[in-house]
Order: sequence, then structure tokens, then C-alpha cells
Amino acid sequence: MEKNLSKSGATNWVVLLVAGVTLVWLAVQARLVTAAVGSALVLVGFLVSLVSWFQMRLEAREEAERLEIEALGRSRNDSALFSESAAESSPARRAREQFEKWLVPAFTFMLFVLQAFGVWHFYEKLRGEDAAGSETFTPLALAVAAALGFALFLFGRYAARLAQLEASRLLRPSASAVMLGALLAGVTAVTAGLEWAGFPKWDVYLAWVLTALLALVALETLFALVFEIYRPRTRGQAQRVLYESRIVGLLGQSGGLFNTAAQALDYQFGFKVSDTWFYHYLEQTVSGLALFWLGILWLSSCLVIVEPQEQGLHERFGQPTANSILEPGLHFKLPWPIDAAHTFKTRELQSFTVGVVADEKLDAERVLVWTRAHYKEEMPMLVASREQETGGAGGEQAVPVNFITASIPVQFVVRDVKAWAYNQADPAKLLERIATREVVRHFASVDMDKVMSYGRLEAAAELQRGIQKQADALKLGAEIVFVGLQDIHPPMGTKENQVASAYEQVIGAIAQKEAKILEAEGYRAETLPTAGANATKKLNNAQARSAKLTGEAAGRSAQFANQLAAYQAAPKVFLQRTYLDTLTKSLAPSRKLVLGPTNTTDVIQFNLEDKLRQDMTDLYLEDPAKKK
Amino acid sequence: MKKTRLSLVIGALLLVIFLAVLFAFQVRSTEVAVVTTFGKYSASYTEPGLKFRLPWPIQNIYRFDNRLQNFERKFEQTTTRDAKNILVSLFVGWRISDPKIFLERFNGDSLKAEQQLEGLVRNAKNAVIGRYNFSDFISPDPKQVKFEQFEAEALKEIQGAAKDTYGLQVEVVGIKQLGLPEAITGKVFERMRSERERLVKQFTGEGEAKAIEIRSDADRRRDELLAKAEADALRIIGEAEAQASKDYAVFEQKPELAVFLLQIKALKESLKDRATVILDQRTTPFNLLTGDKPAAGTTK
Repeated sequence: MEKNLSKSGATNWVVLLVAGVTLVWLAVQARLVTAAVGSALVLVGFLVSLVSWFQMRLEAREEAERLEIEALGRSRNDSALFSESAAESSPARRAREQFEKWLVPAFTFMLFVLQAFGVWHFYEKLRGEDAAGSETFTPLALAVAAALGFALFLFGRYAARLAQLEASRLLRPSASAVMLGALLAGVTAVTAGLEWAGFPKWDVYLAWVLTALLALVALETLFALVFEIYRPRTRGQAQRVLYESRIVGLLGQSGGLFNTAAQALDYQFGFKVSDTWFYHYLEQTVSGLALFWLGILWLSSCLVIVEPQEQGLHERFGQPTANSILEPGLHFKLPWPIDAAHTFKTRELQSFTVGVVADEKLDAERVLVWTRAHYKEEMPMLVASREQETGGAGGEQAVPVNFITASIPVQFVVRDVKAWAYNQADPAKLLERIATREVVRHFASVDMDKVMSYGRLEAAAELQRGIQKQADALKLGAEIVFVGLQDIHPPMGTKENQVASAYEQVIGAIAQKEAKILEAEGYRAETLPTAGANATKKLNNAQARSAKLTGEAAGRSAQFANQLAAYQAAPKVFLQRTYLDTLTKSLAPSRKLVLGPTNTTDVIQFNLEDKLRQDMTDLYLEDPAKKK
Repeated sequence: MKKTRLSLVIGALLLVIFLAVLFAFQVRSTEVAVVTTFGKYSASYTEPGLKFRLPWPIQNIYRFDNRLQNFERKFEQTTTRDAKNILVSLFVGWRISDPKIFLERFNGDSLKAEQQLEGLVRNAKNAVIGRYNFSDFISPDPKQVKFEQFEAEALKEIQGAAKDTYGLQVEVVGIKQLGLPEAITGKVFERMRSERERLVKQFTGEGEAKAIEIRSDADRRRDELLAKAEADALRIIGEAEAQASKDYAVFEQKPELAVFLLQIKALKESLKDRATVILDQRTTPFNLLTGDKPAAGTTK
């Protein structure tokens, strides 16, 4: 029997080595990441089985030595003369003890390092991995992996059974490793199959799962190392194989999950936890508890909570009940599957936007201008053109239309939850389509300039009416709360034909026109009052002159009447007196030159210019009387 | 004893549930169901409620949504009766009218049904659009736009074929979007732009014209005002002169005196400023200088 164990142990590490190499080959050839991670796990198993086999050999040698010593002792009659210390007399046992004391922890530590490295390596690799298998190789990979898995399974079953029958703790780890190998080969086969069937992504997913498993095993190894230090030592108890993984052990042992857990607990605490009353109680009641919780879970399906923004529909065997609409609050119903309740967010305001596909990046912009795109996609809508076809530009294909783009948010709530839920498979989508249709319909016969300016509110109201009418006709059960006509504008146009900027230029021209008119009006405002003032001035001047004329005439005529009287009294004297009087008065301030002799041949020269040098004649004598 | 009874109850309950699962099924009010027995059609259920069945694999249940489904696909170019290109996309609302045919034709797959229906819709769309003018879709006169009529006609066209061959009831056909081919779109853009440019010129011209009008009007009114004022001034002065000459009539009583007095006045006026007067001795009263007797006559 011992021989059998040793043989099986040897077979295991050979098989695992072969399996590991095969998986590496598959990983390289078929480019399967799963196979790569699997091969790492298998190679770790190979190391474990190799060491366990070595330990097994040591134990076998010790056993042989013990038998030999026993036989020797019996033949020798127990002579005290030859009694040596046990340690000195049994080198095989010493070797085994030394191996267990030093080499096993060291190996376990090395194992942990290897596993941890494996986890790190695959984590790095998988993060940047994009599923890319070589498709030609996958069918072959599938076949090889499947065959490998099957072979490993057979070996593993045999070794596991043998370990169980012989209660060999040393064969168990390698048996488990072979079983794990079988599983990994199976997973690789499945991956290859999925890749072949067109799901290459699964290779990466499964590789992640296996990496997680590797990480788990690495952690377990670490904990085993740490816990080994604090474990109470009991004499005579067979030592657990330190490098054996309990997780991997689950696969190879017939006892299953519960047993492994119980054994682990027993081993860790040093007494039979699995014999305590609590453990037995748990074991007995766990099924009852599970049932109880399932029952509670089932009964909880009797309760329905409808949130404030919702309404619910109550159905029995799929049929709406008499009072099927559930308002917000707590409601009771028969449990599943007899009754069912569905809730809908009927009171919540829902919305969509017709005409544009929003762009988050552009949404952040605060200023919206016509000449720059502010949505990801704008749906140009056709608008009838009132301008008569001029015929020139388009020829036969010319169509009397313009384009307009607009974003029209539509907000609605569900008014009739039954209609909303039962009449339409996708009512929100249908509503959006109806709304789009109404918008297209509306714009098809609208005046572009009007709708862009003062007709907006009117148009929005009309659209709301139209959408509501259509929604009612299709029994959508929705109520349109708001339809807005936002940023209606001409399309941006193409690079050569920048429509939006042309529209802006028109507005500029209108402003310019206004400016010109205002300027002219300013001129008029200035000119007319000035002219009025000038006219008044002219009249006033004329009137002043007229007053002067008439006044003077009147004065002169009155004076003449008096002078006439004086003249008639003494005509000659009056004339002479008046003459001399005037002459005296008038000549008084003047410079007078009186020429005495009258000689007609004399030429008299006067220089009447002002002179710089004064002479006699320039001397101006002040009137002494005046001076006084 | 108690425990066994509980176990019995639980066991019975589980059995009932198990049997119920095997022998019954629900049809929701949003569904229709088809039952087949060994693959052969046996019944359709269009009413909701709890129904009985034989367990799998004897009977199979297929459930379909019986609500109105809607879809829309291609934005497709077609030609109107007056040979104008237009892009139209329709949306279609349909529901399963005969679940048996639906199962047979489409293996119960709505997506497949919609794909087939799409062909039908395109066909009908192109046929019906060919009967309409471009102006029936887009026209400045709302009464001329015949969306509803077109949709009704297209619906009728699709309905017949869909019902018999596909087991589908098409209930709604609507125009989702209208458009123009790219080349024509470019031309429309061009026209829109040139239209705007024309408006720019028009507005500029209008502004100019209006300004000139206002200015010339202002000028005219100014001139009118001034001319009128001028006329008034002349009239006033004329009147004043008339008045003055009436007053001067008094001079006619003794014209010699009047003339003399005017001369005197003129003399006075002309000597008002600093003047240099050159006189000879013949001038009265300087004739006294020559020793002459004072003349009795006048200077004149």
C-alpha cells in the first residue's frame, strides 16, 4: 500500500508538470489568457505535489528505519550497553524532522512569493488586455484542453480516493492539485469554445476569475504561515501539511465545503469544534432557518410601497383588479405569483427635446449664437418659403423651402397610468415621435420670419395642442405640460453658404437703416426750428423798419407843419436863419479851411493825410469856451 | 409528531407550487400567448388571466407583447409626383393581431417582424408619395399641407398586406421627418443666403431713401418758411412806406421850403462826423471876408 501511495504521488507531479507545460503551450499558441493563468496555478500545484512526494519518501524511509530498529532491538535483547539516543540511532527520522521544521516553512514561503508574483503579473497583464485570440488555433486548443482535463480528472479521482482510503495527508495536496488542474483544463476548453463561438471577451473575464482564485490561494498560504506560528501544539497529533491549500482541497475531497470548514476549525482551535452543541444545533436548524427566511422573503411580496412620484398597477393572475391603480403609500396584495404590482413614475415630470441631440461638451457653453453649433446634432426642418420661386438658382430641382433648426423641449406627466402601461410597448418613444411629427407638420406651413420672432408663443401653444390631440388619439394617457420653442434659428449652413451669418447681416442692415433715418430726422429736427426763427427775425426786422419809417414820416410831417408856419411869418429871415444856424452848428467841430483870394489860375494842393510832423496848419486849438 | 406535521405541510405546499408551475401559467394583460403541443399549434390566449397547460416538454408557451409597438428606420429619398426629391422617414405603430401567424412568420421575434414590416412600409411610402406633389408636404398655406391624408393612405396601403401575411395590425403611420438630399440642401442654403443678401441691400436702400426724403422735406419746409417770412417783411415795409409817403404829402403845401429843409438836414447829417471843409469866400457867411455887403438872397 505504501508503495501505491508513493507511486501515485510520483504520477501526480509528473502529470501536473505535463499539464502545466501543455497549458503554457496553449496559452502561447492560442493566445488564451485563461490558459496562461491556469498554467500558473497548475505549476504551483506541481511544486506542491513534488514537495509532498519528497516528504512522503522521507516518511517512508523513516518507517522502514523504524521497522529495522524494532527488528534489531528484538534480536538484541535490549542491551543497555548499546542503547543510544533515539536521534542518533535513526537518521531518517531526524532528516524528516529537520525537513518539516525548516524546509517546509521555507518552501511554503517561497510558494507564497511565487503566487503573489503570479497575481501581480497577471493583474498587470489583464489590465491592458484586449481580447484577441488566434481563431485558427482555437478548435485544436479546445480539443487538447478537453482531453487534458479529462485525463487529469481520472488521475485526480484515483489519487483523491487513494488519499481518503489510506488517510494519507501527504497525498491529499497533490490529489487536490490534479483535480484543480482538471478544472483549469476544463475552463480553458470552455474559453476556447466561447472564443470559437464568437465571444472572445469571455477569455478575459475568466482569466480575471482565475487570477482572483490565485490571489485567494496566495492569501491563504500567507495566513497558513502566520497561523502556524500561533497554533497550540498537541503531542502526538499529526502535523498538517503546511503548504496544502484548503481552497484547492475543496475540489479534491469528497467531504465538501462543510467538512473542510469543520476540519479547518478543529485544527485551528485544537479541539473538536465540530463536536460542540452549538455546531450541532447550527447543523440541525440551518435548513429550518433557511426555510424561514425564504418564507419571510415570499411573504414580503404581499407588500407594495408606492413612492410619492409614482402610481402602481395591481394585477391578479396578470389581470388588472377592480381597483387596480395604487396611489402612493403602503398597499397589501396576495403574494407572488398570484398578485403582481408594477409601479410607474407617473407624477414625475418627464421630458425630451425634439429637433436636437444634446452634446454635453457644448452644453457647458453659456453663450449660444447662431453661427456656432451648440448641439451635437441639429435636425434641420423644412419650412415653406413665401418668396416666390425665382427660377434662377436651382432650375428644375428648386424647391420653395427654407431650413430652420429649433430645439423644442416637451414636458409631460402620465395622466392615465393604465393607458400608459397597457396600450403602448414604449409610450415615451411613441410620444417623442408624435411630437416630432407635429413639429415637422407645423413648420411645413409656417412663416419663417414670423415663427422666429413674435409668433413663438403662439406656435408653442399650437404645438402643445397638436401633440396632446395626437397623444389622446393614440390613448397614450400622457398630459403635455409644456412645449417650448427654444432657439429657433436658421441653420448654420455650409462653409460656402453661411446662412446664419447672412441672417445676422440682415439684422445689421435693419439697424443701419434705422440709424440713417434717425440721422435724417435729427437734421430735420434741427433745420425746421432754425428756419422758423430766421423767418420770425425777418418779420421783426421788417416791422421795426416799418415802425421807423412811419414814425419818422409822422414826426417829420408834424415838424414841417410848424416850420411852415414860421416860414410864412418871415420867409427870407427864416431861410437865412436856418441856413446859418445849421452851418454854424454843423461846422463847429469840423476842420475848416477858408480860401481867401479867388484866383482861378492857382492850383492849390492839399495833403489831407495825417502827418507825423505837425506844422502850423495842423495845430488844433481847443475851443477855450469848451475847455472851460 | 409536531415536527413531522410541519414537514408534511411544507412538503405539500412545495408540491402544490411545483404542480402549479407545471400545469398553469399566467397571461398578463399586456401579453398574448400561444400554446403548442409537441410543436403543433393548439391555442392562442389573448385575454389575461390564469391558464392551464400540460407540463413541458408536452406543451410550450410563447408570450408576445400585445401592446402597440412603434419603430422608425430609414430616412429615405423618394420622388414626388411633380418630380421633386424629398427625404421622408415614417414611424409605424403596430401590434400583434394574430399570435399564431406571428409565431410562424417571425419565430416570435419582434425585431424580425419590424425588419419585414420595414420593407412593406418603404414600399407603401414610395408608392403613396408618388401620388402627392411637393407642395402637399410643404406649403405656406396650412390648408394645402396634406400630412393627414398621406398618412391615412399609407396606413391603408400597409395595413392590408401586414394583416394577412404577417399577422400584424398596423395602427399608426406618421411622418417623422422631412428632408432634402444634400445637393439640394446646399442649393437651398445658397438661396437662403442670397435672399438675405438681397434683404440687406433692400434695407440699406430703404434707409438711404427714407433719409433723403426726410432731409429734402426738411429743406423744403425751411425754404418755405423763409420765403413766406421774406414776403411778409416786404409787405410790411411796403405798407410802412405807403403810410410814410401819405404823411409826407404835407410837404406838397410848400415844396421850396420842404426841399430847403431837406437840404439843411442833409447838410447837417453830412457834417456830423469830423470833416475837413474847404470853403471859399463866396460862401455865406464867409463872403463877409471879401467886404461884400451881405447878400439879401439865399445861397441858392
